[in-house]
Amino acid sequence: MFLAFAGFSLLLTSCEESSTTQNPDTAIADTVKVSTSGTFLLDGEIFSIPSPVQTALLLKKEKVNFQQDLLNPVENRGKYLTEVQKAMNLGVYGADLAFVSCQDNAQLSMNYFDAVGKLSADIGILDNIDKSFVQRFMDNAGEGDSLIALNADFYRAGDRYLKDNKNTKTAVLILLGGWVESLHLAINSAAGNAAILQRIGEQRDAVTSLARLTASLDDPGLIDLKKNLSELSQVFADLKSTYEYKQPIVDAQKQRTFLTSKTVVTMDTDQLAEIAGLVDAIRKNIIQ
Amino acid sequence: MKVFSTVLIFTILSLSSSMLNAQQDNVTKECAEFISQEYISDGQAYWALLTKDDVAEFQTTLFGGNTYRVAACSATKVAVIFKILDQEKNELFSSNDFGNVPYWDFIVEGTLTVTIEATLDKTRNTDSGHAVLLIGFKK
Repeated sequence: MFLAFAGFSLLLTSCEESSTTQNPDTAIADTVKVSTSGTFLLDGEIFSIPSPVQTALLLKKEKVNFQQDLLNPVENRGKYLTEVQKAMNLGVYGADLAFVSCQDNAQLSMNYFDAVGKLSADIGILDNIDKSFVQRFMDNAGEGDSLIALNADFYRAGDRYLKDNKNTKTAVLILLGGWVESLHLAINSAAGNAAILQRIGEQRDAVTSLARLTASLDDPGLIDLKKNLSELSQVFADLKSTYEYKQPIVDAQKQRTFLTSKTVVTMDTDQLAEIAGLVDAIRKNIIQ
Repeated sequence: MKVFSTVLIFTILSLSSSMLNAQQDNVTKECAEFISQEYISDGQAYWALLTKDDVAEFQTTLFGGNTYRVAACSATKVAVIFKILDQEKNELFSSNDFGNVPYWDFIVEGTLTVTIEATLDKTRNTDSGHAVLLIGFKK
């Protein structure tokens, strides 16, 4: 089953070797390979990371109080000088933008879009995707639902561009930053909310993937982050999880299937506190 | 002569890469038409160069309480068959059971870790092709 991926992995190895001479920064011992699927391939496995937009929509649905001080202030953008810092904080600001877009605050949305735009320009994404994103964003600044959709489309376009250009390191770091920020927002909105707590526990597969992907990136600026991410992955691995299979229900006429199987994750207060502490440490490492 | 050959090879490779990217762009745009305005992209792009015997697969999490749309397309217009399997490898869905339909909606009751597999329709006369798979969730 994985023969095709293995073959392609060898091909990509040679492509990356040739790119090393052209762009040393993006090729620093970047051992994560783009797979044939455009997701990430590591040791024969391919990964997909949940979108921060889904967490933003859950927080909106659960009517959590908006706390602006939970966001990474846009004023911090100028502090990010390395490609690693810029990529991770592009992910962070994208997650913040999704959260802000749910608040019907056009000016704040524009501020965060400005931060996203400038960081994506700094790392070469903005010049290589559909320029109409910027205009469409400005045209829809007061429309929360449109902004959320545009945000998601913008990140998909960036993801495509980076994977097409074999810049897996940057793509991984953007996803990591976005995932950490959305988890930080969820944890700080979770008090007494069963749906948000459940969603936090359900991040186990994502953190496992991100820990493995990040571990393969060789960069001195990532040493502490990788250690914390590995610890976080272990805490999630220790959460109790049960799975119950049920036969799906098909509605062929409406082209839809009801998936009624489910996984339930159980997390006690000590485990939540441990997760919160590690996420806070990882986030500080990213945004400071 | 050697320099000329090197330049020629480089040019051909560059053009091939550009054509490949343009082909992927086109099929991604066409496939995005299936993710209608009711749905939001998951922010990631999944594509594969498949031969008729290849299976591309990746694992993802479908969160409970959400409705997802999965769309699959190929650059050669050959149908892409996609399957969804649960963590115990039970088949939850196969587009092949519904005439190789290009998209399908999934109403997810409880959170699931699933594997999505994509293959080219082997009954069609094709050796290989680019497959694109997009995931959206309902607003």
